[in-house]
Amino acid sequence: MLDMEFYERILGIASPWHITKTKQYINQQRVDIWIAQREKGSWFKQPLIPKTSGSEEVWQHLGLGRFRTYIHAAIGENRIPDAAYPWMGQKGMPFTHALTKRVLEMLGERMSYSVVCSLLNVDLQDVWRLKHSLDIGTPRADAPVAGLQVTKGSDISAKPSAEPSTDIPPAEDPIWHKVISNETEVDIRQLGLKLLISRVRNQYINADSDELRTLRKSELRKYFIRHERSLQHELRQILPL
Amino acid sequence: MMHSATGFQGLVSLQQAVELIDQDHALAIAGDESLLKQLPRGNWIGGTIPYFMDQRGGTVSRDKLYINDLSGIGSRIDIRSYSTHNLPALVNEAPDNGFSLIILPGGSDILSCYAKNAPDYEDIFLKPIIGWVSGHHLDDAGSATPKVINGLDGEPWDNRAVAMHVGLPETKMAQLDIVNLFQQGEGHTFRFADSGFTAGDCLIDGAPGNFADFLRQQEIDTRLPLVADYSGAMVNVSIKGSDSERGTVDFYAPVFSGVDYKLAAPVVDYIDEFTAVTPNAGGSWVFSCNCILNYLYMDLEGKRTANITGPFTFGEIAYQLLNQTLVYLSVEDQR
Repeated sequence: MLDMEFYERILGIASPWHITKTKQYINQQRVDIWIAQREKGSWFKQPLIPKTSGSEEVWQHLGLGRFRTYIHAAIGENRIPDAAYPWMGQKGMPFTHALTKRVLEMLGERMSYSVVCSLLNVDLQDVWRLKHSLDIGTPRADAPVAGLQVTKGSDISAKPSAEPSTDIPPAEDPIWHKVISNETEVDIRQLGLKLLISRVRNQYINADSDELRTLRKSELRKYFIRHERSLQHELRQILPL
Repeated sequence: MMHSATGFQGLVSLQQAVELIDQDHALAIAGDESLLKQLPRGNWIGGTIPYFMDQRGGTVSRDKLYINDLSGIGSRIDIRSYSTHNLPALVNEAPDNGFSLIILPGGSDILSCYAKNAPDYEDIFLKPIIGWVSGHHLDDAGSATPKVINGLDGEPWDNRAVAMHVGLPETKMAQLDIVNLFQQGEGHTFRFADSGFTAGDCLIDGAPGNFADFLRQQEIDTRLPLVADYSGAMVNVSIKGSDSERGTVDFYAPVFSGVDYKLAAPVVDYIDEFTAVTPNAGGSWVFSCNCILNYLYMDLEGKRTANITGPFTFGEIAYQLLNQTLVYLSVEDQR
Protein backbone atom coordinates (compact mmCIF):
# COMPACT_ATOMS: atom_id res chain seq x y z
CA MET A 1 0.00 0.00 0.00
CA LEU A 2 2.83 2.35 0.92
CA ASP A 3 4.45 1.44 -2.38
CA MET A 4 1.37 2.49 -4.26
CA GLU A 5 1.09 5.83 -2.48
CA PHE A 6 4.74 6.44 -3.08
CA TYR A 7 4.46 5.68 -6.80
CA GLU A 8 1.28 7.75 -7.14
CA ARG A 9 3.11 10.71 -5.61
CA ILE A 10 6.25 10.50 -7.72
CA LEU A 11 4.35 9.77 -10.94
CA GLY A 12 1.85 12.54 -10.27
CA ILE A 13 -1.17 10.28 -10.46
CA ALA A 14 -4.30 11.92 -9.08
CA SER A 15 -7.95 11.02 -8.69
CA PRO A 16 -9.89 9.60 -10.46
CA TRP A 17 -6.80 7.58 -11.44
CA HIS A 18 -5.01 5.41 -8.97
CA ILE A 19 -2.53 2.59 -8.85
CA THR A 20 -4.10 -0.83 -8.43
CA LYS A 21 -0.98 -2.96 -8.39
CA THR A 22 2.79 -2.75 -8.65
CA LYS A 23 5.35 -5.41 -9.34
CA GLN A 24 9.09 -5.14 -9.11
CA TYR A 25 11.48 -7.38 -10.99
CA ILE A 26 14.77 -6.76 -9.28
CA ASN A 27 16.90 -8.94 -11.55
CA GLN A 28 15.43 -7.39 -14.67
CA GLN A 29 15.62 -3.90 -13.14
CA ARG A 30 12.02 -3.26 -14.04
CA VAL A 31 8.92 -1.95 -12.29
CA ASP A 32 5.42 -2.58 -13.62
CA ILE A 33 2.59 -0.33 -12.44
CA TRP A 34 -1.10 -0.89 -13.11
CA ILE A 35 -3.31 2.19 -13.16
CA ALA A 36 -7.09 2.42 -13.39
CA GLN A 37 -9.93 4.85 -12.85
CA ARG A 38 -12.07 4.66 -9.75
CA GLU A 39 -15.79 4.17 -10.27
CA LYS A 40 -17.71 7.33 -9.44
CA GLY A 41 -18.86 7.35 -5.86
CA SER A 42 -16.76 4.38 -4.98
CA TRP A 43 -14.09 6.28 -3.09
CA PHE A 44 -15.31 5.14 0.27
CA LYS A 45 -16.40 1.73 -0.83
CA GLN A 46 -14.11 -1.25 -0.74
CA PRO A 47 -12.93 -2.97 -2.77
CA LEU A 48 -12.32 -0.44 -5.53
CA ILE A 49 -13.39 -1.74 -8.90
CA PRO A 50 -11.30 -0.42 -11.74
CA LYS A 51 -13.30 0.97 -14.61
CA THR A 52 -12.22 -0.95 -17.66
CA SER A 53 -12.51 0.67 -21.02
CA GLY A 54 -10.88 -1.48 -23.66
CA SER A 55 -7.86 -3.72 -23.68
CA GLU A 56 -4.85 -3.03 -21.52
CA GLU A 57 -2.05 -0.97 -23.02
CA VAL A 58 1.53 -1.12 -21.76
CA TRP A 59 3.85 1.84 -22.18
CA GLN A 60 7.40 2.37 -21.04
CA HIS A 61 7.65 5.44 -18.84
CA LEU A 62 10.57 7.54 -17.62
CA GLY A 63 12.87 5.31 -15.65
CA LEU A 64 13.16 5.20 -11.90
CA GLY A 65 16.89 5.19 -11.34
CA ARG A 66 18.27 2.26 -13.27
CA PHE A 67 14.86 0.59 -13.33
CA ARG A 68 12.68 0.68 -16.40
CA THR A 69 9.10 1.63 -15.58
CA TYR A 70 6.15 0.15 -17.43
CA ILE A 71 2.64 1.54 -17.04
CA HIS A 72 -0.36 -0.72 -17.63
CA ALA A 73 -3.73 0.93 -18.23
CA ALA A 74 -6.86 0.57 -20.31
CA ILE A 75 -7.86 3.71 -22.16
CA GLY A 76 -10.10 2.32 -24.89
CA GLU A 77 -10.46 4.59 -27.88
CA ASN A 78 -10.39 7.74 -25.75
CA ARG A 79 -7.81 10.32 -26.64
CA ILE A 80 -6.52 11.84 -23.46
CA PRO A 81 -4.51 15.06 -23.47
CA ASP A 82 -0.93 14.21 -22.66
CA ALA A 83 -0.29 17.41 -20.71
CA ALA A 84 -2.69 16.23 -18.02
CA TYR A 85 -1.53 12.63 -18.01
CA PRO A 86 2.16 12.41 -18.86
CA TRP A 87 2.31 8.88 -17.45
CA MET A 88 -0.19 7.72 -20.04
CA GLY A 89 0.52 6.88 -23.68
CA GLN A 90 -1.22 6.70 -26.98
CA LYS A 91 -2.88 3.46 -27.99
CA GLY A 92 -0.44 1.16 -29.75
CA MET A 93 2.59 3.31 -28.99
CA PRO A 94 5.61 2.10 -27.02
CA PHE A 95 6.11 5.02 -24.65
CA THR A 96 4.14 7.24 -22.30
CA HIS A 97 3.63 10.85 -23.33
CA ALA A 98 6.43 11.96 -21.01
CA LEU A 99 8.95 9.49 -22.41
CA THR A 100 7.81 10.17 -25.98
CA LYS A 101 8.44 13.86 -25.41
CA ARG A 102 11.92 13.15 -24.07
CA VAL A 103 12.79 10.83 -27.00
CA LEU A 104 11.62 13.37 -29.56
CA GLU A 105 13.49 16.18 -27.84
CA MET A 106 16.69 14.18 -28.11
CA LEU A 107 16.12 13.19 -31.73
CA GLY A 108 15.35 16.83 -32.43
CA GLU A 109 18.77 17.64 -30.98
CA ARG A 110 20.16 15.28 -33.65
CA MET A 111 21.31 12.67 -31.20
CA SER A 112 21.74 9.28 -32.82
CA TYR A 113 19.26 6.51 -32.03
CA SER A 114 21.90 4.57 -30.16
CA VAL A 115 22.67 7.51 -27.86
CA VAL A 116 18.98 8.09 -27.19
CA CYS A 117 18.50 4.41 -26.39
CA SER A 118 21.48 4.35 -24.10
CA LEU A 119 20.53 7.51 -22.24
CA LEU A 120 16.89 6.74 -21.76
CA ASN A 121 17.29 2.99 -21.34
CA VAL A 122 14.88 2.23 -24.17
CA ASP A 123 15.00 -0.30 -27.01
CA LEU A 124 16.02 0.72 -30.51
CA GLN A 125 13.05 -1.08 -31.97
CA ASP A 126 10.65 1.00 -29.87
CA VAL A 127 12.29 4.27 -30.83
CA TRP A 128 12.13 3.24 -34.45
CA ARG A 129 8.43 2.34 -34.03
CA LEU A 130 7.77 5.78 -32.61
CA LYS A 131 9.69 7.47 -35.41
CA HIS A 132 7.95 5.38 -38.03
CA SER A 133 4.50 6.30 -36.70
CA LEU A 134 5.59 9.93 -36.68
CA ASP A 135 6.65 9.64 -40.30
CA ILE A 136 3.28 8.33 -41.36
CA GLY A 137 1.54 10.95 -39.28
CA THR A 138 -0.27 8.96 -36.61
CA PRO A 139 0.93 10.60 -33.39
CA ARG A 140 -0.52 13.70 -31.86
CA ALA A 141 0.03 16.94 -33.66
CA ASP A 142 1.01 18.62 -30.41
CA ALA A 143 4.00 16.38 -29.80
CA PRO A 144 7.10 18.53 -29.52
CA VAL A 145 9.81 17.41 -31.85
CA ALA A 146 12.72 19.67 -32.37
CA GLY A 147 14.29 22.82 -31.15
CA LEU A 148 13.75 22.04 -27.49
CA GLN A 149 16.52 21.90 -24.97
CA VAL A 150 17.72 18.59 -23.65
CA THR A 151 16.64 18.25 -20.05
CA LYS A 152 19.12 19.59 -17.58
CA GLY A 153 21.13 16.89 -15.93
CA SER A 154 21.59 14.83 -19.07
CA ASP A 155 24.97 13.26 -19.36
CA ILE A 156 27.15 15.82 -21.10
CA SER A 157 28.88 13.06 -23.05
CA ALA A 158 25.60 12.16 -24.70
CA LYS A 159 25.21 15.47 -26.45
CA PRO A 160 25.61 15.26 -30.19
CA SER A 161 29.18 15.42 -31.28
CA ALA A 162 30.27 18.72 -32.69
CA GLU A 163 29.61 19.01 -36.40
CA PRO A 164 32.65 19.14 -38.61
CA SER A 165 33.39 22.51 -40.12
CA THR A 166 31.13 22.76 -43.16
CA ASP A 167 29.82 25.20 -45.73
CA ILE A 168 26.50 23.40 -45.78
CA PRO A 169 23.78 25.86 -44.70
CA PRO A 170 22.03 25.24 -41.35
CA ALA A 171 18.65 23.49 -41.29
CA GLU A 172 16.91 26.82 -40.78
CA ASP A 173 18.24 28.18 -44.10
CA PRO A 174 15.42 28.71 -46.64
CA ILE A 175 17.36 26.70 -49.23
CA TRP A 176 16.26 23.42 -47.66
CA HIS A 177 12.60 24.33 -48.02
CA LYS A 178 13.24 25.28 -51.64
CA VAL A 179 15.04 22.02 -52.38
CA ILE A 180 12.46 19.83 -50.65
CA SER A 181 9.48 21.60 -52.15
CA ASN A 182 11.19 21.57 -55.56
CA GLU A 183 11.17 25.36 -55.83
CA THR A 184 14.88 24.99 -56.52
CA GLU A 185 15.31 22.12 -58.95
CA VAL A 186 18.44 20.11 -58.35
CA ASP A 187 19.91 17.59 -60.75
CA ILE A 188 20.82 14.69 -58.49
CA ARG A 189 23.34 12.01 -59.41
CA GLN A 190 23.51 9.88 -56.26
CA LEU A 191 20.93 7.12 -55.89
CA GLY A 192 20.81 7.47 -52.09
CA LEU A 193 20.01 11.16 -52.33
CA LYS A 194 17.31 10.58 -54.96
CA LEU A 195 15.57 8.06 -52.71
CA LEU A 196 16.01 10.18 -49.58
CA ILE A 197 14.71 13.36 -51.12
CA SER A 198 11.64 11.58 -52.45
CA ARG A 199 10.85 10.24 -48.99
CA VAL A 200 11.54 13.55 -47.29
CA ARG A 201 9.36 15.39 -49.82
CA ASN A 202 6.43 13.11 -49.10
CA GLN A 203 6.84 13.48 -45.34
CA TYR A 204 7.40 17.23 -45.59
CA ILE A 205 4.14 17.72 -47.46
CA ASN A 206 2.28 15.69 -44.85
CA ALA A 207 3.98 17.29 -41.83
CA ASP A 208 1.55 19.17 -39.66
CA SER A 209 4.00 21.25 -37.64
CA ASP A 210 7.08 23.38 -38.16
CA GLU A 211 8.99 21.05 -35.86
CA LEU A 212 8.35 18.07 -38.12
CA ARG A 213 9.34 20.09 -41.17
CA THR A 214 12.56 21.11 -39.44
CA LEU A 215 13.25 17.45 -38.69
CA ARG A 216 12.93 16.63 -42.40
CA LYS A 217 15.21 19.50 -43.39
CA SER A 218 17.76 18.27 -40.85
CA GLU A 219 17.63 14.79 -42.35
CA LEU A 220 18.39 16.09 -45.79
CA ARG A 221 21.12 18.35 -44.51
CA LYS A 222 22.70 15.43 -42.67
CA TYR A 223 23.05 13.59 -45.99
CA PHE A 224 24.79 16.58 -47.55
CA ILE A 225 27.18 16.90 -44.62
CA ARG A 226 28.03 13.23 -44.67
CA HIS A 227 28.60 13.07 -48.42
CA GLU A 228 29.85 16.60 -48.91
CA ARG A 229 32.95 15.52 -50.81
CA SER A 230 31.05 13.44 -53.36
CA LEU A 231 28.15 15.89 -53.77
CA GLN A 232 29.97 18.75 -55.44
CA HIS A 233 27.68 18.56 -58.49
CA GLU A 234 24.58 18.94 -56.31
CA LEU A 235 26.12 21.50 -53.93
CA ARG A 236 27.08 23.80 -56.79
CA GLN A 237 23.37 24.05 -57.57
CA ILE A 238 22.20 24.97 -54.08
CA LEU A 239 25.03 26.97 -52.51
CA PRO A 240 25.29 30.70 -53.21
CA LEU A 241 28.14 31.55 -55.56
CA MET B 1 36.78 -16.08 -62.47
CA MET B 2 37.20 -12.33 -62.90
CA HIS B 3 39.96 -10.57 -60.99
CA SER B 4 39.89 -6.85 -60.34
CA ALA B 5 41.68 -4.36 -58.19
CA THR B 6 38.98 -4.82 -55.62
CA GLY B 7 39.02 -8.60 -55.36
CA PHE B 8 37.85 -11.45 -57.55
CA GLN B 9 34.42 -12.66 -58.42
CA GLY B 10 32.96 -15.44 -60.48
CA LEU B 11 31.84 -19.04 -60.58
CA VAL B 12 33.98 -21.57 -58.74
CA SER B 13 33.75 -25.24 -57.85
CA LEU B 14 32.81 -26.40 -54.38
CA GLN B 15 36.44 -27.39 -53.77
CA GLN B 16 37.71 -23.92 -54.75
CA ALA B 17 35.19 -22.29 -52.43
CA VAL B 18 36.25 -24.55 -49.55
CA GLU B 19 39.89 -23.61 -50.10
CA LEU B 20 39.11 -19.88 -50.05
CA ILE B 21 37.11 -20.24 -46.84
CA ASP B 22 39.89 -22.26 -45.25
CA GLN B 23 42.31 -19.49 -46.22
CA ASP B 24 40.10 -17.12 -44.22
CA HIS B 25 38.84 -15.10 -47.17
CA ALA B 26 35.73 -12.97 -46.59
CA LEU B 27 33.20 -14.15 -49.16
CA ALA B 28 29.68 -13.50 -50.33
CA ILE B 29 28.46 -16.72 -51.91
CA ALA B 30 25.48 -17.59 -54.09
CA GLY B 31 24.63 -21.15 -55.00
CA ASP B 32 22.41 -24.15 -54.73
CA GLU B 33 21.47 -25.08 -51.17
CA SER B 34 23.05 -28.54 -51.49
CA LEU B 35 26.46 -26.92 -52.15
CA LEU B 36 26.18 -24.16 -49.55
CA LYS B 37 25.46 -26.77 -46.88
CA GLN B 38 28.78 -28.49 -47.63
CA LEU B 39 30.88 -25.39 -47.03
CA PRO B 40 32.98 -25.19 -43.85
CA ARG B 41 32.41 -22.49 -41.27
CA GLY B 42 34.22 -19.27 -41.91
CA ASN B 43 33.96 -15.63 -42.88
CA TRP B 44 31.23 -15.88 -45.42
CA ILE B 45 27.57 -15.23 -45.99
CA GLY B 46 25.50 -17.08 -48.53
CA GLY B 47 22.15 -17.35 -50.18
CA THR B 48 20.48 -19.98 -52.30
CA ILE B 49 20.16 -19.42 -56.04
CA PRO B 50 21.37 -21.46 -59.05
CA TYR B 51 21.10 -18.73 -61.72
CA PHE B 52 24.14 -16.67 -62.67
CA MET B 53 25.60 -14.32 -65.21
CA ASP B 54 29.24 -15.18 -65.79
CA GLN B 55 31.75 -14.29 -68.46
CA ARG B 56 30.17 -16.75 -70.87
CA GLY B 57 26.63 -15.47 -70.37
CA GLY B 58 23.53 -16.31 -68.38
CA THR B 59 23.64 -19.82 -66.95
CA VAL B 60 21.97 -22.13 -64.47
CA SER B 61 24.18 -24.40 -62.39
CA ARG B 62 23.64 -26.59 -59.37
CA ASP B 63 27.32 -27.53 -59.11
CA LYS B 64 29.02 -24.12 -59.12
CA LEU B 65 29.07 -21.32 -56.60
CA TYR B 66 29.29 -17.63 -57.40
CA ILE B 67 31.79 -15.89 -55.17
CA ASN B 68 32.53 -12.26 -54.42
CA ASP B 69 35.77 -12.07 -52.47
CA LEU B 70 35.67 -8.97 -50.29
CA SER B 71 38.86 -9.76 -48.34
CA GLY B 72 41.12 -7.24 -50.00
CA ILE B 73 38.61 -4.43 -49.93
CA GLY B 74 37.69 -3.78 -46.35
CA SER B 75 39.73 -2.59 -43.43
CA ARG B 76 37.18 -4.25 -41.14
CA ILE B 77 34.64 -6.97 -41.90
CA ASP B 78 31.79 -7.90 -39.60
CA ILE B 79 29.21 -10.63 -40.23
CA ARG B 80 25.79 -10.40 -38.57
CA SER B 81 22.43 -12.18 -38.63
CA TYR B 82 19.13 -10.41 -38.18
CA SER B 83 15.60 -11.39 -37.23
CA THR B 84 12.53 -9.23 -37.74
CA HIS B 85 13.09 -7.94 -34.20
CA ASN B 86 16.55 -6.46 -34.64
CA LEU B 87 16.45 -5.71 -38.37
CA PRO B 88 16.30 -1.91 -37.90
CA ALA B 89 19.71 -2.20 -36.18
CA LEU B 90 21.21 -3.13 -39.56
CA VAL B 91 21.81 0.51 -40.44
CA ASN B 92 23.27 1.37 -37.04
CA GLU B 93 25.71 -1.50 -37.36
CA ALA B 94 26.72 -0.57 -40.91
CA PRO B 95 30.10 1.14 -41.02
CA ASP B 96 30.28 4.93 -41.24
CA ASN B 97 32.58 4.59 -44.23
CA GLY B 98 32.00 1.40 -46.17
CA PHE B 99 29.06 -0.68 -47.24
CA SER B 100 26.85 -3.55 -46.15
CA LEU B 101 25.94 -6.55 -48.26
CA ILE B 102 22.69 -8.13 -47.13
CA ILE B 103 20.95 -11.35 -48.22
CA LEU B 104 17.29 -11.96 -47.39
CA PRO B 105 15.37 -15.20 -47.99
CA GLY B 106 12.72 -14.98 -50.73
CA GLY B 107 9.09 -15.23 -49.69
CA SER B 108 9.87 -14.76 -46.00
CA ASP B 109 8.39 -12.54 -43.33
CA ILE B 110 11.73 -10.84 -42.84
CA LEU B 111 11.85 -9.93 -46.53
CA SER B 112 8.36 -8.51 -46.26
CA CYS B 113 9.39 -6.60 -43.14
CA TYR B 114 12.48 -5.17 -44.81
CA ALA B 115 10.67 -4.31 -48.03
CA LYS B 116 7.92 -2.41 -46.25
CA ASN B 117 9.95 -0.70 -43.55
CA ALA B 118 13.53 -0.20 -44.72
CA PRO B 119 12.82 3.09 -46.51
CA ASP B 120 11.88 4.51 -43.11
CA TYR B 121 14.90 3.25 -41.16
CA GLU B 122 17.00 6.02 -39.70
CA ASP B 123 19.92 6.90 -41.97
CA ILE B 124 19.03 4.11 -44.42
CA PHE B 125 20.05 6.23 -47.41
CA LEU B 126 23.21 7.53 -45.78
CA LYS B 127 25.08 4.22 -45.79
CA PRO B 128 25.34 2.06 -48.92
CA ILE B 129 23.33 -1.11 -48.39
CA ILE B 130 23.36 -3.51 -51.32
CA GLY B 131 22.14 -7.06 -51.51
CA TRP B 132 19.80 -9.60 -52.89
CA VAL B 133 16.93 -11.96 -52.20
CA SER B 134 17.68 -15.67 -52.23
CA GLY B 135 15.60 -18.11 -54.25
CA HIS B 136 15.64 -21.56 -55.77
CA HIS B 137 15.60 -23.36 -59.11
CA LEU B 138 12.28 -22.63 -60.76
CA ASP B 139 11.73 -26.37 -61.24
CA ASP B 140 11.72 -26.66 -57.44
CA ALA B 141 8.90 -24.17 -56.90
CA GLY B 142 6.63 -25.55 -54.22
CA SER B 143 9.22 -27.90 -52.74
CA ALA B 144 12.25 -25.70 -52.06
CA THR B 145 12.46 -22.77 -49.65
CA PRO B 146 14.91 -19.93 -50.23
CA LYS B 147 17.60 -19.80 -47.54
CA VAL B 148 20.43 -17.66 -46.28
CA ILE B 149 23.47 -18.85 -44.33
CA ASN B 150 25.75 -17.09 -41.89
CA GLY B 151 29.06 -18.84 -42.55
CA LEU B 152 30.18 -18.30 -38.95
CA ASP B 153 27.72 -20.94 -37.76
CA GLY B 154 26.78 -22.63 -41.04
CA GLU B 155 23.08 -22.75 -40.20
CA PRO B 156 20.63 -22.27 -43.10
CA TRP B 157 17.75 -19.93 -42.29
CA ASP B 158 14.54 -19.24 -44.13
CA ASN B 159 13.47 -16.34 -41.94
CA ARG B 160 16.62 -14.49 -41.00
CA ALA B 161 18.77 -12.05 -42.90
CA VAL B 162 22.55 -12.15 -43.05
CA ALA B 163 24.80 -9.21 -43.69
CA MET B 164 28.47 -8.53 -44.19
CA HIS B 165 29.45 -5.06 -43.02
CA VAL B 166 32.61 -3.92 -44.78
CA GLY B 167 34.44 -0.92 -43.38
CA LEU B 168 36.66 0.93 -45.84
CA PRO B 169 39.84 2.91 -45.21
CA GLU B 170 39.41 6.69 -45.22
CA THR B 171 40.99 6.90 -48.66
CA LYS B 172 38.17 4.84 -50.22
CA MET B 173 34.44 5.30 -50.66
CA ALA B 174 31.62 3.01 -51.74
CA GLN B 175 29.14 4.05 -54.42
CA LEU B 176 25.87 2.23 -54.93
CA ASP B 177 23.81 2.54 -58.09
CA ILE B 178 21.38 0.73 -60.33
CA VAL B 179 20.83 0.00 -64.00
CA ASN B 180 17.15 -0.06 -64.80
CA LEU B 181 16.12 -0.25 -68.42
CA PHE B 182 12.50 0.38 -67.62
CA GLN B 183 11.15 3.90 -67.86
CA GLN B 184 7.66 5.07 -67.05
CA GLY B 185 5.34 4.61 -70.04
CA GLU B 186 3.10 7.31 -71.39
CA GLY B 187 -0.09 5.74 -70.03
CA HIS B 188 -2.17 6.00 -66.90
CA THR B 189 -1.02 6.93 -63.41
CA PHE B 190 -1.85 4.58 -60.53
CA ARG B 191 -1.95 5.52 -56.87
CA PHE B 192 -2.68 3.01 -54.12
CA ALA B 193 -4.34 3.78 -50.80
CA ASP B 194 -2.27 1.31 -48.78
CA SER B 195 1.31 0.10 -48.93
CA GLY B 196 1.77 -3.63 -49.44
CA PHE B 197 2.56 -6.59 -51.64
CA THR B 198 -1.07 -6.87 -52.75
CA ALA B 199 -3.33 -4.16 -54.11
CA GLY B 200 -6.65 -3.89 -55.87
CA ASP B 201 -8.66 -0.73 -55.63
CA CYS B 202 -6.67 2.33 -56.55
CA LEU B 203 -6.88 5.70 -58.21
CA ILE B 204 -6.34 5.59 -61.96
CA ASP B 205 -5.54 9.09 -63.16
CA GLY B 206 -7.26 10.31 -60.02
CA ALA B 207 -10.48 8.35 -60.54
CA PRO B 208 -11.44 5.30 -58.46
CA GLY B 209 -10.68 2.01 -60.22
CA ASN B 210 -9.31 -1.46 -59.74
CA PHE B 211 -5.83 -2.44 -60.86
CA ALA B 212 -6.69 -6.11 -61.50
CA ASP B 213 -9.66 -5.08 -63.64
CA PHE B 214 -7.46 -2.61 -65.50
CA LEU B 215 -4.83 -5.26 -66.30
CA ARG B 216 -7.50 -7.63 -67.59
CA GLN B 217 -9.51 -5.11 -69.57
CA GLN B 218 -6.47 -3.53 -71.19
CA GLU B 219 -4.77 -6.93 -71.75
CA ILE B 220 -1.58 -5.58 -70.22
CA ASP B 221 1.64 -7.56 -70.58
CA THR B 222 2.31 -8.17 -66.88
CA ARG B 223 5.99 -8.76 -67.54
CA LEU B 224 6.19 -4.98 -67.57
CA PRO B 225 6.62 -3.63 -64.03
CA LEU B 226 5.04 -0.63 -62.41
CA VAL B 227 7.60 2.16 -62.31
CA ALA B 228 7.79 5.01 -59.80
CA ASP B 229 9.96 8.06 -60.31
CA TYR B 230 11.95 8.78 -57.12
CA SER B 231 13.49 12.11 -58.03
CA GLY B 232 14.96 10.63 -61.17
CA ALA B 233 15.59 7.10 -59.91
CA MET B 234 13.21 4.69 -61.62
CA VAL B 235 12.04 2.10 -59.08
CA ASN B 236 10.22 -0.98 -60.35
CA VAL B 237 7.55 -3.07 -58.71
CA SER B 238 7.08 -6.31 -60.64
CA ILE B 239 3.73 -7.99 -61.03
CA LYS B 240 3.57 -11.50 -59.62
CA GLY B 241 0.02 -12.35 -60.56
CA SER B 242 -3.43 -10.95 -60.98
CA ASP B 243 -6.66 -12.40 -59.61
CA SER B 244 -9.52 -10.75 -61.43
CA GLU B 245 -12.13 -12.66 -59.42
CA ARG B 246 -10.83 -11.23 -56.15
CA GLY B 247 -9.87 -7.99 -57.81
CA THR B 248 -6.33 -8.07 -56.48
CA VAL B 249 -2.82 -8.02 -57.89
CA ASP B 250 0.21 -9.48 -56.11
CA PHE B 251 3.62 -7.86 -56.45
CA TYR B 252 7.22 -8.97 -55.87
CA ALA B 253 7.88 -5.77 -53.92
CA PRO B 254 5.46 -3.53 -52.08
CA VAL B 255 3.72 -0.60 -53.66
CA PHE B 256 3.75 2.42 -51.38
CA SER B 257 0.81 4.67 -50.67
CA GLY B 258 1.24 8.25 -51.81
CA VAL B 259 3.52 7.26 -54.70
CA ASP B 260 2.52 7.62 -58.34
CA TYR B 261 3.16 4.57 -60.52
CA LYS B 262 3.00 4.04 -64.26
CA LEU B 263 3.36 0.86 -66.24
CA ALA B 264 6.77 0.60 -67.88
CA ALA B 265 7.36 1.28 -71.52
CA PRO B 266 8.44 -1.91 -73.31
CA VAL B 267 12.15 -2.66 -73.67
CA VAL B 268 12.87 -3.54 -77.29
CA ASP B 269 16.30 -5.16 -77.09
CA TYR B 270 17.52 -5.80 -73.58
CA ILE B 271 21.12 -6.64 -74.46
CA ASP B 272 21.63 -3.63 -76.72
CA GLU B 273 19.95 -1.17 -74.38
CA PHE B 274 21.72 -2.64 -71.36
CA THR B 275 25.10 -2.28 -72.99
CA ALA B 276 24.28 1.30 -73.99
CA VAL B 277 23.36 2.50 -70.50
CA THR B 278 25.64 0.39 -68.30
CA PRO B 279 28.74 2.18 -67.08
CA ASN B 280 32.02 0.42 -67.69
CA ALA B 281 32.40 -2.03 -64.83
CA GLY B 282 36.17 -1.65 -64.95
CA GLY B 283 38.02 -2.79 -61.88
CA SER B 284 36.07 -0.83 -59.29
CA TRP B 285 32.92 -2.96 -59.19
CA VAL B 286 32.80 -5.02 -56.05
CA PHE B 287 29.38 -6.60 -56.34
CA SER B 288 26.44 -6.73 -58.68
CA CYS B 289 23.33 -8.81 -59.15
CA ASN B 290 20.47 -8.80 -61.60
CA CYS B 291 16.88 -9.96 -61.42
CA ILE B 292 15.71 -13.46 -62.24
CA LEU B 293 12.78 -11.85 -64.12
CA ASN B 294 15.22 -10.13 -66.46
CA TYR B 295 16.91 -13.51 -66.99
CA LEU B 296 13.54 -15.07 -67.85
CA TYR B 297 11.70 -12.30 -69.66
CA MET B 298 14.71 -11.12 -71.65
CA ASP B 299 15.83 -14.69 -72.35
CA LEU B 300 19.38 -14.13 -71.10
CA GLU B 301 20.49 -17.75 -70.97
CA GLY B 302 23.77 -17.96 -72.86
CA LYS B 303 23.83 -14.20 -73.48
CA ARG B 304 26.20 -11.68 -71.94
CA THR B 305 25.21 -8.31 -70.49
CA ALA B 306 28.28 -6.14 -71.14
CA ASN B 307 30.93 -7.58 -68.81
CA ILE B 308 28.68 -7.61 -65.77
CA THR B 309 28.56 -10.83 -63.75
CA GLY B 310 26.79 -11.99 -60.61
CA PRO B 311 23.78 -13.95 -59.44
CA PHE B 312 20.27 -13.59 -60.86
CA THR B 313 18.13 -13.09 -57.81
CA PHE B 314 14.56 -13.08 -56.53
CA GLY B 315 14.86 -9.38 -55.65
CA GLU B 316 17.60 -6.78 -55.50
CA ILE B 317 18.52 -4.47 -52.65
CA ALA B 318 19.84 -0.99 -53.26
CA TYR B 319 18.95 0.52 -49.90
CA GLN B 320 15.41 -0.79 -50.45
CA LEU B 321 13.93 -3.76 -52.28
CA LEU B 322 13.84 -3.40 -56.06
CA ASN B 323 12.62 -5.61 -58.90
CA GLN B 324 13.82 -6.21 -62.47
CA THR B 325 16.86 -4.06 -61.79
CA LEU B 326 20.61 -4.55 -61.82
CA VAL B 327 22.25 -3.20 -58.69
CA TYR B 328 25.97 -2.65 -58.36
CA LEU B 329 28.48 -1.33 -55.90
CA SER B 330 31.85 0.15 -56.68
CA VAL B 331 34.70 1.17 -54.41
CA GLU B 332 36.59 4.23 -55.50
CA ASP B 333 39.28 6.57 -54.22
CA GLN B 334 37.97 9.47 -52.12
CA ARG B 335 38.22 12.70 -54.01
